[in-house]
Amino acid sequence: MIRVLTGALALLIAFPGPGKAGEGSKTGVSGVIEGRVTWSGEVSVDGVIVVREGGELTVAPGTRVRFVPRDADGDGIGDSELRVEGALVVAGTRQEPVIFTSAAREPAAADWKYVMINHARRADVRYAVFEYAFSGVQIHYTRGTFDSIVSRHNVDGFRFSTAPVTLRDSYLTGNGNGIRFEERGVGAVIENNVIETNRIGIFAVIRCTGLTRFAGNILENNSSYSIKLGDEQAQDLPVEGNWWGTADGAAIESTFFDGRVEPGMGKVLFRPFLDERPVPGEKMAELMERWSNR
Amino acid sequence: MIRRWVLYPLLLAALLGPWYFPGNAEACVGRKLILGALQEDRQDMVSKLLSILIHERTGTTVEVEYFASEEKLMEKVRKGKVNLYVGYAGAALEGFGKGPATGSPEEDYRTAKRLFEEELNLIWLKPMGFSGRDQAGRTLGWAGVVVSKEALKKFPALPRLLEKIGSRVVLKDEVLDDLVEKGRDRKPAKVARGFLKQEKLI
Repeated sequence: MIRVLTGALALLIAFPGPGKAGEGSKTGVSGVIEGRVTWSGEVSVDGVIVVREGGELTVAPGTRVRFVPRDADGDGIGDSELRVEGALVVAGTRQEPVIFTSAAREPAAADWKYVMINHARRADVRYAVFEYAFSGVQIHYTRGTFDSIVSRHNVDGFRFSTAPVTLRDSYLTGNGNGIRFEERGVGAVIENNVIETNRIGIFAVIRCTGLTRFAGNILENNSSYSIKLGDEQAQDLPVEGNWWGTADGAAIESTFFDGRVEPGMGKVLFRPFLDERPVPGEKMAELMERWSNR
Repeated sequence: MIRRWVLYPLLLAALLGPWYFPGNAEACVGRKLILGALQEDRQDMVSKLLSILIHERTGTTVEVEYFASEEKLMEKVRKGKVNLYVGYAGAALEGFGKGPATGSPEEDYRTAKRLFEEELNLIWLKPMGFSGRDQAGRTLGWAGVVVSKEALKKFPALPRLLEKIGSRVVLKDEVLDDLVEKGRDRKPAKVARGFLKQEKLI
Protein backbone atom coordinates (compact mmCIF):
# COMPACT_ATOMS: atom_id res chain seq x y z
CA MET A 1 0.00 0.00 0.00
CA ILE A 2 2.75 2.45 1.01
CA ARG A 3 4.67 1.55 -2.13
CA VAL A 4 1.62 2.32 -4.23
CA LEU A 5 1.08 5.73 -2.60
CA THR A 6 4.78 6.59 -2.86
CA GLY A 7 4.69 5.67 -6.51
CA ALA A 8 1.69 7.85 -7.13
CA LEU A 9 3.34 10.80 -5.39
CA ALA A 10 6.46 10.31 -7.49
CA LEU A 11 4.31 10.40 -10.61
CA LEU A 12 2.80 13.74 -9.57
CA ILE A 13 6.22 15.22 -8.87
CA ALA A 14 7.82 13.78 -11.99
CA PHE A 15 5.04 15.11 -14.23
CA PRO A 16 4.07 18.43 -12.79
CA GLY A 17 1.91 19.23 -15.82
CA PRO A 18 0.75 22.66 -16.90
CA GLY A 19 0.07 23.72 -13.32
CA LYS A 20 3.72 24.08 -12.32
CA ALA A 21 5.21 27.55 -12.70
CA GLY A 22 8.94 27.21 -12.60
CA GLU A 23 12.01 28.59 -14.25
CA GLY A 24 11.85 28.06 -17.95
CA SER A 25 8.02 27.87 -17.99
CA LYS A 26 7.35 30.80 -20.23
CA THR A 27 4.09 30.09 -21.93
CA GLY A 28 0.65 29.98 -20.39
CA VAL A 29 1.91 29.31 -16.89
CA SER A 30 -0.25 28.93 -13.84
CA GLY A 31 0.26 27.01 -10.63
CA VAL A 32 2.50 27.25 -7.61
CA ILE A 33 6.01 28.43 -6.83
CA GLU A 34 7.55 26.93 -3.74
CA GLY A 35 11.32 27.28 -4.10
CA ARG A 36 13.39 30.07 -5.61
CA VAL A 37 12.31 30.88 -9.13
CA THR A 38 13.46 33.58 -11.53
CA TRP A 39 11.43 34.83 -14.44
CA SER A 40 13.05 36.52 -17.39
CA GLY A 41 12.22 37.32 -20.99
CA GLU A 42 8.56 36.85 -21.95
CA VAL A 43 6.22 35.16 -19.47
CA SER A 44 2.57 34.49 -20.23
CA VAL A 45 0.27 33.91 -17.26
CA ASP A 46 -2.98 32.11 -17.95
CA GLY A 47 -4.78 31.56 -14.65
CA VAL A 48 -3.46 31.93 -11.14
CA ILE A 49 0.17 31.84 -10.03
CA VAL A 50 0.73 31.47 -6.30
CA VAL A 51 4.11 32.07 -4.69
CA ARG A 52 3.73 29.91 -1.59
CA GLU A 53 4.89 30.95 1.88
CA GLY A 54 8.34 29.45 1.48
CA GLY A 55 8.72 30.47 -2.14
CA GLU A 56 10.51 33.43 -3.66
CA LEU A 57 9.91 34.85 -7.12
CA THR A 58 12.50 37.13 -8.65
CA VAL A 59 11.64 38.91 -11.86
CA ALA A 60 14.71 39.88 -13.84
CA PRO A 61 15.25 43.23 -15.56
CA GLY A 62 13.46 43.59 -18.87
CA THR A 63 10.96 40.80 -18.20
CA ARG A 64 7.51 41.25 -19.72
CA VAL A 65 4.75 39.35 -17.92
CA ARG A 66 1.54 39.15 -19.94
CA PHE A 67 -1.70 38.08 -18.27
CA VAL A 68 -4.19 36.33 -20.53
CA PRO A 69 -7.59 38.05 -20.30
CA ARG A 70 -10.09 35.41 -19.28
CA ASP A 71 -13.28 36.07 -17.29
CA ALA A 72 -14.79 32.68 -16.49
CA ASP A 73 -17.02 33.97 -13.69
CA GLY A 74 -18.32 36.85 -15.79
CA ASP A 75 -17.75 39.49 -13.12
CA GLY A 76 -16.08 41.85 -15.56
CA ILE A 77 -12.66 41.30 -14.03
CA GLY A 78 -10.06 39.09 -15.66
CA ASP A 79 -9.15 35.95 -13.72
CA SER A 80 -5.39 35.83 -14.30
CA GLU A 81 -3.34 36.96 -11.34
CA LEU A 82 -0.08 36.66 -9.46
CA ARG A 83 -0.62 35.97 -5.76
CA VAL A 84 2.32 36.24 -3.40
CA GLU A 85 2.37 34.60 0.02
CA GLY A 86 6.17 34.24 0.12
CA ALA A 87 8.60 36.81 -1.25
CA LEU A 88 8.55 38.92 -4.41
CA VAL A 89 11.58 40.69 -5.82
CA VAL A 90 11.00 42.70 -8.98
CA ALA A 91 14.42 43.83 -10.07
CA GLY A 92 13.71 46.20 -12.94
CA THR A 93 16.22 48.89 -13.84
CA ARG A 94 15.96 52.34 -15.29
CA GLN A 95 16.99 51.02 -18.70
CA GLU A 96 15.12 47.72 -18.46
CA PRO A 97 11.89 47.95 -16.45
CA VAL A 98 9.78 44.90 -15.71
CA ILE A 99 6.32 45.11 -17.27
CA PHE A 100 3.16 43.43 -15.96
CA THR A 101 0.52 43.88 -18.61
CA SER A 102 -2.47 42.44 -20.43
CA ALA A 103 -2.04 39.96 -23.25
CA ALA A 104 -5.08 41.42 -25.04
CA ARG A 105 -4.62 42.97 -28.46
CA GLU A 106 -6.64 45.96 -27.36
CA PRO A 107 -5.96 46.10 -23.63
CA ALA A 108 -8.32 47.68 -21.12
CA ALA A 109 -8.55 48.13 -17.35
CA ALA A 110 -9.41 44.90 -15.46
CA ASP A 111 -8.18 42.59 -18.25
CA TRP A 112 -6.37 40.75 -15.46
CA LYS A 113 -6.89 40.76 -11.73
CA TYR A 114 -3.81 41.90 -9.86
CA VAL A 115 -0.46 41.29 -8.30
CA MET A 116 -1.76 40.48 -4.82
CA ILE A 117 0.75 40.43 -1.97
CA ASN A 118 -1.06 39.19 1.10
CA HIS A 119 0.40 37.99 4.42
CA ALA A 120 3.66 37.60 2.53
CA ARG A 121 7.26 37.69 3.78
CA ARG A 122 8.26 40.75 1.80
CA ALA A 123 7.96 42.64 -1.45
CA ASP A 124 10.79 44.60 -3.01
CA VAL A 125 9.77 46.16 -6.30
CA ARG A 126 11.80 48.55 -8.41
CA TYR A 127 11.26 49.91 -11.88
CA ALA A 128 8.14 47.96 -12.70
CA VAL A 129 5.08 48.89 -14.74
CA PHE A 130 1.61 47.58 -13.83
CA GLU A 131 -1.08 48.21 -16.40
CA TYR A 132 -4.59 47.14 -17.46
CA ALA A 133 -5.33 45.26 -14.22
CA PHE A 134 -8.18 45.48 -11.75
CA SER A 135 -5.55 46.53 -9.20
CA GLY A 136 -2.02 47.00 -10.47
CA VAL A 137 -0.73 46.19 -7.01
CA GLN A 138 -2.63 45.09 -3.92
CA ILE A 139 -0.64 44.63 -0.74
CA HIS A 140 -2.00 43.65 2.66
CA TYR A 141 -0.34 42.65 5.94
CA THR A 142 3.09 42.76 4.33
CA ARG A 143 6.12 45.02 4.50
CA GLY A 144 6.98 46.27 1.05
CA THR A 145 9.04 48.80 -0.85
CA PHE A 146 7.96 50.12 -4.22
CA ASP A 147 10.43 52.40 -5.86
CA SER A 148 10.11 54.03 -9.28
CA ILE A 149 7.09 52.02 -10.36
CA VAL A 150 4.44 53.04 -12.87
CA SER A 151 0.82 52.03 -12.39
CA ARG A 152 -1.55 53.05 -15.14
CA HIS A 153 -4.87 52.17 -16.77
CA ASN A 154 -6.02 50.06 -13.82
CA VAL A 155 -9.20 50.34 -11.78
CA ASP A 156 -6.99 50.84 -8.70
CA GLY A 157 -3.40 51.81 -9.36
CA PHE A 158 -1.89 51.00 -5.98
CA ARG A 159 -4.03 49.54 -3.21
CA PHE A 160 -2.92 48.75 0.30
CA SER A 161 -4.38 47.92 3.67
CA THR A 162 -2.81 47.20 7.05
CA ALA A 163 0.62 47.24 5.42
CA PRO A 164 3.81 49.15 6.27
CA VAL A 165 4.62 49.98 2.66
CA THR A 166 6.79 52.65 1.14
CA LEU A 167 5.85 54.00 -2.27
CA ARG A 168 8.25 56.56 -3.62
CA ASP A 169 9.37 58.20 -6.85
CA SER A 170 6.53 56.47 -8.66
CA TYR A 171 4.08 57.52 -11.33
CA LEU A 172 0.37 56.73 -11.02
CA THR A 173 -1.70 57.81 -14.00
CA GLY A 174 -4.87 56.99 -15.89
CA ASN A 175 -6.35 54.82 -13.12
CA GLY A 176 -9.81 54.89 -11.55
CA ASN A 177 -8.13 55.45 -8.18
CA GLY A 178 -4.43 56.32 -8.22
CA ILE A 179 -4.07 55.07 -4.64
CA ARG A 180 -6.72 53.30 -2.60
CA PHE A 181 -5.97 52.50 1.01
CA GLU A 182 -7.19 51.54 4.47
CA GLU A 183 -4.68 52.11 7.26
CA ARG A 184 -6.27 49.98 9.97
CA GLY A 185 -3.62 50.88 12.51
CA VAL A 186 -0.56 50.55 10.29
CA GLY A 187 1.23 53.54 8.75
CA ALA A 188 2.77 53.74 5.30
CA VAL A 189 5.02 56.22 3.50
CA ILE A 190 3.89 57.80 0.23
CA GLU A 191 6.46 60.30 -0.95
CA ASN A 192 7.72 62.08 -4.03
CA ASN A 193 5.23 60.45 -6.38
CA VAL A 194 3.36 61.95 -9.29
CA ILE A 195 -0.35 61.10 -9.12
CA GLU A 196 -2.05 62.64 -12.13
CA THR A 197 -4.88 62.19 -14.63
CA ASN A 198 -6.60 59.53 -12.56
CA ARG A 199 -10.33 59.82 -11.85
CA ILE A 200 -9.58 59.96 -8.12
CA GLY A 201 -6.05 60.70 -6.96
CA ILE A 202 -6.28 59.06 -3.52
CA PHE A 203 -9.23 57.16 -2.06
CA ALA A 204 -8.98 56.81 1.74
CA VAL A 205 -11.69 54.22 2.28
CA ILE A 206 -11.95 53.65 6.01
CA ARG A 207 -10.00 53.61 9.29
CA CYS A 208 -7.28 55.99 8.19
CA THR A 209 -6.04 57.88 11.24
CA GLY A 210 -3.08 59.85 10.00
CA LEU A 211 -0.40 57.21 10.46
CA THR A 212 0.49 57.33 6.78
CA ARG A 213 2.88 60.05 5.70
CA PHE A 214 2.14 61.73 2.39
CA ALA A 215 4.83 64.23 1.44
CA GLY A 216 6.40 65.77 -1.63
CA ASN A 217 3.81 64.28 -3.96
CA ILE A 218 2.42 66.01 -7.02
CA LEU A 219 -1.35 65.54 -7.31
CA GLU A 220 -2.89 67.27 -10.30
CA ASN A 221 -5.41 66.88 -13.10
CA ASN A 222 -7.30 64.07 -11.38
CA SER A 223 -10.69 64.43 -13.01
CA SER A 224 -13.15 63.92 -10.12
CA TYR A 225 -11.22 64.51 -6.92
CA SER A 226 -7.63 64.68 -5.78
CA ILE A 227 -8.68 62.99 -2.52
CA LYS A 228 -11.90 61.23 -1.68
CA LEU A 229 -12.79 59.92 1.77
CA GLY A 230 -14.95 56.83 2.15
CA ASP A 231 -18.42 57.02 3.64
CA GLU A 232 -17.24 55.73 7.02
CA GLN A 233 -13.99 57.68 7.16
CA ALA A 234 -15.00 59.97 10.00
CA GLN A 235 -11.48 61.04 11.01
CA ASP A 236 -9.51 63.83 9.43
CA LEU A 237 -6.75 62.88 7.04
CA PRO A 238 -3.48 64.84 7.38
CA VAL A 239 -1.63 65.22 4.07
CA GLU A 240 0.60 68.26 4.51
CA GLY A 241 3.46 69.15 2.21
CA ASN A 242 2.16 68.15 -1.21
CA TRP A 243 1.50 70.00 -4.45
CA TRP A 244 -2.14 70.11 -5.56
CA GLY A 245 -1.87 71.73 -8.97
CA THR A 246 -2.44 75.24 -7.65
CA ALA A 247 -1.36 77.50 -4.81
CA ASP A 248 -4.94 78.67 -4.24
CA GLY A 249 -6.18 77.07 -1.01
CA ALA A 250 -9.87 77.40 -1.89
CA ALA A 251 -9.28 75.80 -5.29
CA ILE A 252 -7.43 72.95 -3.62
CA GLU A 253 -10.31 72.40 -1.18
CA SER A 254 -12.70 72.07 -4.10
CA THR A 255 -10.80 68.97 -5.23
CA PHE A 256 -11.65 67.03 -2.06
CA PHE A 257 -14.68 64.87 -1.35
CA ASP A 258 -14.67 65.02 2.43
CA GLY A 259 -16.45 66.57 5.39
CA ARG A 260 -16.62 69.86 3.56
CA VAL A 261 -19.11 68.25 1.16
CA GLU A 262 -20.63 65.57 3.36
CA PRO A 263 -21.15 66.35 7.05
CA GLY A 264 -20.08 63.52 9.30
CA MET A 265 -17.03 62.65 7.27
CA GLY A 266 -13.51 63.73 8.19
CA LYS A 267 -11.65 66.54 6.45
CA VAL A 268 -8.51 66.49 4.38
CA LEU A 269 -5.92 68.54 6.27
CA PHE A 270 -3.69 69.80 3.49
CA ARG A 271 -2.12 72.93 5.01
CA PRO A 272 0.73 73.77 4.86
CA PHE A 273 1.00 72.74 1.22
CA LEU A 274 3.71 73.20 -1.37
CA ASP A 275 3.01 76.48 -3.12
CA GLU A 276 5.22 75.69 -6.08
CA ARG A 277 5.24 72.62 -8.21
CA PRO A 278 8.33 70.55 -7.35
CA VAL A 279 10.48 69.86 -10.37
CA PRO A 280 10.46 66.09 -10.96
CA GLY A 281 13.93 64.59 -10.90
CA GLU A 282 15.55 63.08 -13.94
CA LYS A 283 14.32 59.55 -13.16
CA MET A 284 10.73 60.71 -12.70
CA ALA A 285 10.87 62.87 -15.81
CA GLU A 286 11.90 59.79 -17.75
CA LEU A 287 9.03 57.71 -16.35
CA MET A 288 6.53 60.45 -17.20
CA GLU A 289 7.92 60.93 -20.66
CA ARG A 290 7.70 57.24 -21.43
CA TRP A 291 4.46 56.25 -19.71
CA SER A 292 2.32 59.36 -19.73
CA ASN A 293 -1.22 59.30 -21.17
CA ARG A 294 -0.74 62.74 -22.58
CA MET B 1 -13.38 -3.86 -10.50
CA ILE B 2 -10.78 -1.09 -10.41
CA ARG B 3 -7.29 -2.24 -9.67
CA ARG B 4 -5.51 -0.83 -6.63
CA TRP B 5 -2.70 0.72 -8.66
CA VAL B 6 -5.31 2.74 -10.55
CA LEU B 7 -7.54 3.52 -7.60
CA TYR B 8 -4.93 4.79 -5.12
CA PRO B 9 -3.34 7.38 -7.42
CA LEU B 10 -6.82 8.62 -8.25
CA LEU B 11 -7.66 8.94 -4.57
CA LEU B 12 -4.38 10.70 -3.88
CA ALA B 13 -4.89 13.10 -6.75
CA ALA B 14 -8.37 13.89 -5.47
CA LEU B 15 -6.95 14.62 -2.02
CA LEU B 16 -4.06 16.73 -3.24
CA GLY B 17 -5.85 18.36 -6.13
CA PRO B 18 -7.13 21.49 -4.40
CA TRP B 19 -3.70 22.10 -2.89
CA TYR B 20 -1.77 21.33 -6.02
CA PHE B 21 -3.85 23.24 -8.56
CA PRO B 22 -4.79 26.51 -6.96
CA GLY B 23 -8.07 27.85 -8.26
CA ASN B 24 -9.36 31.37 -8.02
CA ALA B 25 -12.37 30.64 -5.86
CA GLU B 26 -10.87 32.55 -2.96
CA ALA B 27 -9.55 35.32 -5.15
CA CYS B 28 -10.66 38.52 -3.58
CA VAL B 29 -11.50 41.78 -5.23
CA GLY B 30 -12.88 43.13 -2.00
CA ARG B 31 -16.36 42.88 -0.59
CA LYS B 32 -19.13 42.37 -3.09
CA LEU B 33 -22.89 42.92 -3.16
CA ILE B 34 -25.34 41.53 -5.68
CA LEU B 35 -28.11 43.94 -6.61
CA GLY B 36 -31.13 42.47 -8.37
CA ALA B 37 -33.08 44.48 -10.96
CA LEU B 38 -35.96 43.87 -13.33
CA GLN B 39 -35.30 44.22 -17.03
CA GLU B 40 -36.91 47.59 -17.56
CA ASP B 41 -35.64 51.13 -18.01
CA ARG B 42 -36.52 52.62 -14.63
CA GLN B 43 -35.12 49.67 -12.67
CA ASP B 44 -32.01 49.78 -14.81
CA MET B 45 -31.45 53.46 -14.03
CA VAL B 46 -32.16 53.06 -10.31
CA SER B 47 -29.86 50.05 -10.05
CA LYS B 48 -27.10 52.07 -11.67
CA LEU B 49 -27.66 54.95 -9.27
CA LEU B 50 -27.47 52.60 -6.29
CA SER B 51 -24.52 50.54 -7.48
CA ILE B 52 -22.46 53.61 -8.34
CA LEU B 53 -23.37 55.27 -5.04
CA ILE B 54 -22.33 52.21 -3.02
CA HIS B 55 -19.15 51.62 -4.99
CA GLU B 56 -18.02 55.23 -4.97
CA ARG B 57 -18.71 55.83 -1.30
CA THR B 58 -17.56 52.54 0.20
CA GLY B 59 -15.28 50.93 -2.37
CA THR B 60 -17.53 47.85 -2.33
CA THR B 61 -17.99 46.11 -5.65
CA VAL B 62 -21.65 45.91 -6.68
CA GLU B 63 -22.71 43.48 -9.36
CA VAL B 64 -26.13 44.08 -10.93
CA GLU B 65 -28.04 40.99 -11.96
CA TYR B 66 -31.10 41.44 -14.18
CA PHE B 67 -34.30 39.35 -14.04
CA ALA B 68 -37.17 38.92 -16.48
CA SER B 69 -39.81 38.80 -13.74
CA GLU B 70 -40.32 39.63 -10.09
CA GLU B 71 -40.91 35.94 -9.35
CA LYS B 72 -37.45 35.02 -10.66
CA LEU B 73 -35.88 37.89 -8.76
CA MET B 74 -37.60 36.89 -5.49
CA GLU B 75 -36.53 33.29 -5.96
CA LYS B 76 -32.88 34.41 -5.91
CA VAL B 77 -33.52 36.79 -3.02
CA ARG B 78 -35.01 33.98 -0.93
CA LYS B 79 -31.99 31.81 -1.67
CA GLY B 80 -29.71 34.60 -0.51
CA LYS B 81 -28.18 34.98 -3.99
CA VAL B 82 -29.33 38.58 -4.28
CA ASN B 83 -28.51 40.98 -1.44
CA LEU B 84 -30.69 43.94 -2.33
CA TYR B 85 -33.19 45.18 -4.90
CA VAL B 86 -35.73 47.94 -5.43
CA GLY B 87 -39.25 46.82 -4.58
CA TYR B 88 -42.68 48.41 -4.98
CA ALA B 89 -44.77 48.09 -1.83
CA GLY B 90 -48.22 47.59 -3.40
CA ALA B 91 -46.98 45.01 -5.89
CA ALA B 92 -44.99 43.31 -3.17
CA LEU B 93 -48.09 42.87 -1.04
CA GLU B 94 -49.98 41.32 -3.93
CA GLY B 95 -47.06 39.05 -4.74
CA PHE B 96 -47.01 38.09 -1.10
CA GLY B 97 -50.66 37.08 -1.22
CA LYS B 98 -51.68 39.96 1.06
CA GLY B 99 -53.14 42.13 -1.69
CA PRO B 100 -54.89 43.82 -3.21
CA ALA B 101 -53.21 46.97 -2.03
CA THR B 102 -55.23 49.29 0.22
CA GLY B 103 -54.99 52.32 -2.04
CA SER B 104 -52.90 54.18 0.51
CA PRO B 105 -49.27 53.95 -0.59
CA GLU B 106 -48.08 54.90 2.89
CA GLU B 107 -50.16 52.17 4.51
CA ASP B 108 -49.02 49.61 1.94
CA TYR B 109 -45.40 50.53 2.56
CA ARG B 110 -45.77 50.09 6.31
CA THR B 111 -47.48 46.73 5.86
CA ALA B 112 -44.93 45.46 3.34
CA LYS B 113 -42.09 46.57 5.59
CA ARG B 114 -43.55 44.69 8.58
CA LEU B 115 -44.43 41.50 6.70
CA PHE B 116 -41.15 41.25 4.82
CA GLU B 117 -39.14 41.65 7.98
CA GLU B 118 -41.21 39.16 9.96
CA GLU B 119 -41.52 36.50 7.31
CA LEU B 120 -38.63 36.93 4.88
CA ASN B 121 -35.87 38.61 6.91
CA LEU B 122 -35.88 41.45 4.41
CA ILE B 123 -35.72 45.10 5.42
CA TRP B 124 -37.43 47.85 3.46
CA LEU B 125 -35.45 51.09 3.73
CA LYS B 126 -37.20 54.45 3.55
CA PRO B 127 -39.12 55.24 0.32
CA MET B 128 -36.97 56.64 -2.47
CA GLY B 129 -39.49 59.16 -3.78
CA PHE B 130 -40.94 57.51 -6.88
CA SER B 131 -43.60 54.88 -7.46
CA GLY B 132 -43.53 51.75 -9.52
CA ARG B 133 -45.80 51.47 -12.50
CA ASP B 134 -46.45 48.72 -15.01
CA GLN B 135 -46.55 48.99 -18.79
CA ALA B 136 -50.21 50.01 -18.70
CA GLY B 137 -49.29 52.88 -16.38
CA ARG B 138 -50.90 51.39 -13.25
CA THR B 139 -49.08 52.26 -10.07
CA LEU B 140 -47.40 49.48 -8.12
CA GLY B 141 -46.81 51.46 -4.94
CA TRP B 142 -43.94 53.41 -3.41
CA ALA B 143 -40.46 52.25 -4.31
CA GLY B 144 -37.87 51.40 -1.69
CA VAL B 145 -34.60 49.53 -1.41
CA VAL B 146 -35.10 46.08 0.10
CA VAL B 147 -32.02 44.59 1.78
CA SER B 148 -31.50 41.18 3.31
CA LYS B 149 -30.66 41.06 7.02
CA GLU B 150 -27.63 38.96 6.11
CA ALA B 151 -26.29 41.80 3.96
CA LEU B 152 -26.97 44.35 6.69
CA LYS B 153 -24.85 42.34 9.12
CA LYS B 154 -21.91 42.67 6.73
CA PHE B 155 -22.71 46.23 5.66
CA PRO B 156 -24.33 47.92 8.65
CA ALA B 157 -23.78 51.41 7.26
CA LEU B 158 -25.73 50.64 4.08
CA PRO B 159 -29.11 52.10 5.16
CA ARG B 160 -27.60 55.43 6.14
CA LEU B 161 -25.95 55.68 2.74
CA LEU B 162 -28.80 54.43 0.58
CA GLU B 163 -31.43 56.48 2.36
CA LYS B 164 -29.68 59.61 1.13
CA ILE B 165 -31.74 58.90 -1.97
CA GLY B 166 -35.17 59.67 -0.67
CA SER B 167 -34.09 62.06 2.05
CA ARG B 168 -31.31 64.33 0.84
CA VAL B 169 -32.19 63.82 -2.80
CA VAL B 170 -35.79 62.82 -3.40
CA LEU B 171 -35.99 60.75 -6.55
CA LYS B 172 -39.41 61.88 -7.73
CA ASP B 173 -41.11 60.20 -10.69
CA GLU B 174 -40.37 63.10 -13.02
CA VAL B 175 -36.71 63.17 -11.96
CA LEU B 176 -36.31 59.45 -12.62
CA ASP B 177 -38.16 59.65 -15.94
CA ASP B 178 -35.87 62.49 -16.99
CA LEU B 179 -32.79 60.38 -16.17
CA VAL B 180 -34.22 57.42 -18.09
CA GLU B 181 -34.87 59.68 -21.08
CA LYS B 182 -31.33 61.06 -20.99
CA GLY B 183 -30.07 57.49 -20.76
CA ARG B 184 -31.54 56.73 -24.18
CA ASP B 185 -29.07 59.12 -25.82
CA ARG B 186 -26.09 58.50 -23.59
CA LYS B 187 -24.93 55.54 -21.57
CA PRO B 188 -27.29 55.13 -18.56
CA ALA B 189 -24.33 54.60 -16.22
CA LYS B 190 -22.85 57.89 -17.34
CA VAL B 191 -26.16 59.66 -16.77
CA ALA B 192 -26.47 58.08 -13.31
CA ARG B 193 -22.93 59.06 -12.37
CA GLY B 194 -23.49 62.62 -13.59
CA PHE B 195 -26.67 62.92 -11.52
CA LEU B 196 -25.00 61.65 -8.34
CA LYS B 197 -22.09 64.01 -8.86
CA GLN B 198 -24.39 66.96 -9.51
CA GLU B 199 -26.25 66.20 -6.28
CA LYS B 200 -22.92 65.91 -4.43
CA LEU B 201 -23.64 62.34 -3.44
CA ILE B 202 -20.36 61.13 -4.91
